[in-house]
Amino acid sequence: MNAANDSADTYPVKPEADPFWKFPFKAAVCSNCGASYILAEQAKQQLCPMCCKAALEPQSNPPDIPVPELQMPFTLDNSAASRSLAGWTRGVWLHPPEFDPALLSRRLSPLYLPQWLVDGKITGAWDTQVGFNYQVMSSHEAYDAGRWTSQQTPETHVRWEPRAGQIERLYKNLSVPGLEEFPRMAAGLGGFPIQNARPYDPAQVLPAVVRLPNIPTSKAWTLAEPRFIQEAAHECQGAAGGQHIEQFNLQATYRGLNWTLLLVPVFSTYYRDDAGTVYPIFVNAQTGEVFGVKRASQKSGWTWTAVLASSALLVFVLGFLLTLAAGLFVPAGLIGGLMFVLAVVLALASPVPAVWAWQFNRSRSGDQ
Amino acid sequence: MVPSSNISADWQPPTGFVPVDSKIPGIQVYAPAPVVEKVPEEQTFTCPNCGATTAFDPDAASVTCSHCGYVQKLHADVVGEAAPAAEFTVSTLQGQQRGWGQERRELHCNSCGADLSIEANDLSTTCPFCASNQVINRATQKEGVRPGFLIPFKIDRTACVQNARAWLGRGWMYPSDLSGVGQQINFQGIYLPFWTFSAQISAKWEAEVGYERTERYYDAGSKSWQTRTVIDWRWQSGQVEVPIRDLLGMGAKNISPHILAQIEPYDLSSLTAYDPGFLAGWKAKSYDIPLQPAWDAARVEMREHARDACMEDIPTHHVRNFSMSADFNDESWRLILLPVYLATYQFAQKTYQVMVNGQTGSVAGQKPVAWWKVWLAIAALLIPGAVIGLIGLPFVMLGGAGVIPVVVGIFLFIVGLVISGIILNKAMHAGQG
Repeated sequence: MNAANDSADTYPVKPEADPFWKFPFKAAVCSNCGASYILAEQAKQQLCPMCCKAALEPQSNPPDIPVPELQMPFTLDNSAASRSLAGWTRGVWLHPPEFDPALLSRRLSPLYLPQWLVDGKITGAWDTQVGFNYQVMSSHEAYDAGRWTSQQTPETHVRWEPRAGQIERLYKNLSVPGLEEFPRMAAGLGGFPIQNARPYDPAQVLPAVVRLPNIPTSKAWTLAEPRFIQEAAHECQGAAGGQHIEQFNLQATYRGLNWTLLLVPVFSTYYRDDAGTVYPIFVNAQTGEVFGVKRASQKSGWTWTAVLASSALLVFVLGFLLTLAAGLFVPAGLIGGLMFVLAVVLALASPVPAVWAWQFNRSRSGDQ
Repeated sequence: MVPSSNISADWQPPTGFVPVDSKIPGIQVYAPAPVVEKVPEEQTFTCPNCGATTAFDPDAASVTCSHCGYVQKLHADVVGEAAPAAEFTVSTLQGQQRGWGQERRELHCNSCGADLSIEANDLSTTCPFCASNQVINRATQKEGVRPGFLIPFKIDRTACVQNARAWLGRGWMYPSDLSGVGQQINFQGIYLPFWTFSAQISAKWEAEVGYERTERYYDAGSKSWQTRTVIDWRWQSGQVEVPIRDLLGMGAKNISPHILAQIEPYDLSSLTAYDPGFLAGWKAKSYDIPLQPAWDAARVEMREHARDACMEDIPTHHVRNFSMSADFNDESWRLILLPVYLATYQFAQKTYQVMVNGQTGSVAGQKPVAWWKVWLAIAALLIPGAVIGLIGLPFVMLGGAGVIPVVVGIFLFIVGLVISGIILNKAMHAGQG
């Protein structure tokens, strides 16, 4: 399978082509993570919304800037995004002080992430196995209290048959990640349905920061080709009248490849853990789904462990003293015994907060 | 999506593929050419050398001419139990070939109602099922699903008659001159229709299962400690997988299932793809028990197998409140023909039926019983015990010495009674179909 020579290897729009963005903009770059951005010329200095660790700096030699063709609107406002964050943060018992929904909400900043949209014409030959549903009658027999009851129910089976043919189809606006980190983020953020996309509107983009792609189209082709094959397979299945498809092989050439951008909306925010490590959080501004790393506060864990252990020691000492006093006042011995039991329970419970925080962070170490 | 028709002319579809309708413009679809079952022209089996009628010869496993010795090999594959089976879909049933694939007529019996497929030139005047001569030789009335597979005749008529004679002469309770009847019996080789059914049954059971336990208790009556066995009941459940392969279901009504069961089993590994040549010179019974009732009957048998498997899965024999459910999966069926020699013979103005397995030569059927022999044998079994007992009785009355002959007499009498019962039962069933 060959990408035709007319596919672009670089961003199709040059930096000086401001009119394409239709608003005065400036380019910026993060000195920490290297992410490039477009933001309104009058925008104040702000933190990098991707890593949230360094302020954005003006970029004197910005990369080639692609043309957005479509964008998705922010269907969630800040308060709806805050509610999503409040739900997401629930359940972290010993969380860092900054892992607070109110604080996270105050730090929300709108951000557009880039996805490539590619158009192209497939011409080639295909072969596959197509599955056709058919109904059979299946039996179910039940025996109870000495009697049999019979039931026959229709059941769907799949008959697989080979199919082959030729295809010449033009596909438009197949979306491909524009960021290397996007597939990992999409696991938490969920999808951005292409049907929600609208033509690019600078008035809507202006208040937000636009992240520029870090996957050039030459590399994006390796991601785009499977999307073409996926679309072609789906259509070949439909053309053959089947309900399933497998082992789809396509020998095709791709022509007229045209790359544009789709901007998808997210909110960015962040928090710091005990050690001051910054954790960015993203909220899908279409659906409210959240992507980020949840961390427990190991410091809080140790504090609670210390409190419980100290309490255990104190109760033990009191119990010991009361036991000694049993010679003078008999009920004091009984109370002293109970305090021994309480001291043991507290002592046993004391490691729990520290262990819980350690275990919580360990189980989420893969999220980072 | 923009369709286009400018698709490469150089591309060739895979061999055997033909264009089919595409539901999306710009996509051409090719599928394997449908297998058109060649509807054979009605075959007539006549010898190309001498023009005489040819017939399938079990010894040669070919269609042969008895006049000039011409042999026509049949090229049917032995597929055995791997023979393809059909699922329970309306479309597969409708898709089955119909008729026999050769010119045949139908012999309808007005007496028992049987319909028998015979060769066009067959001049049979007797029904092989009931020996009635009230038969009508008529054109085939209905064309049912064509059998997909059959087991060809392996036993020829000579061997069949020999086996039948040996069978008739076997046993002491039958008339002595019965073996001579074997020579006069006119056996007719008939292919009988059978449905085969297969299914994978997943059965789940639930029951209260009892476990025996020995316990000690204090018996107030005897004022001592005793032991007794008690049963602890526990609810248990389990699951078993029961594969059932090629369960035979009758396809014909006028056949005695009792006699048929006695000449089974058939070795289904010899199943062969249907070819009209196997029927040349032989009769064939078309099915008159359709698929659905046959499947209903087979399912009853299958679910009992499943219930037995569930009961075997239960670790003890103490079971109560047993319930189960059985899900049938991969249900499939075939229509096959199995070879049987069928005959009726007259003895003492009564008609008896005999069947011979056309594959293995096993014989079963009805036989007249010489009842005087049976009663004589029963008397011989009962009299010794009765006599010895009666002899001992006066001695018992005189003193204790007669106890031994009375006990021996009673023992012999009881043994004789049991054996007599077995003999009587066998004699009564010998005449039944």
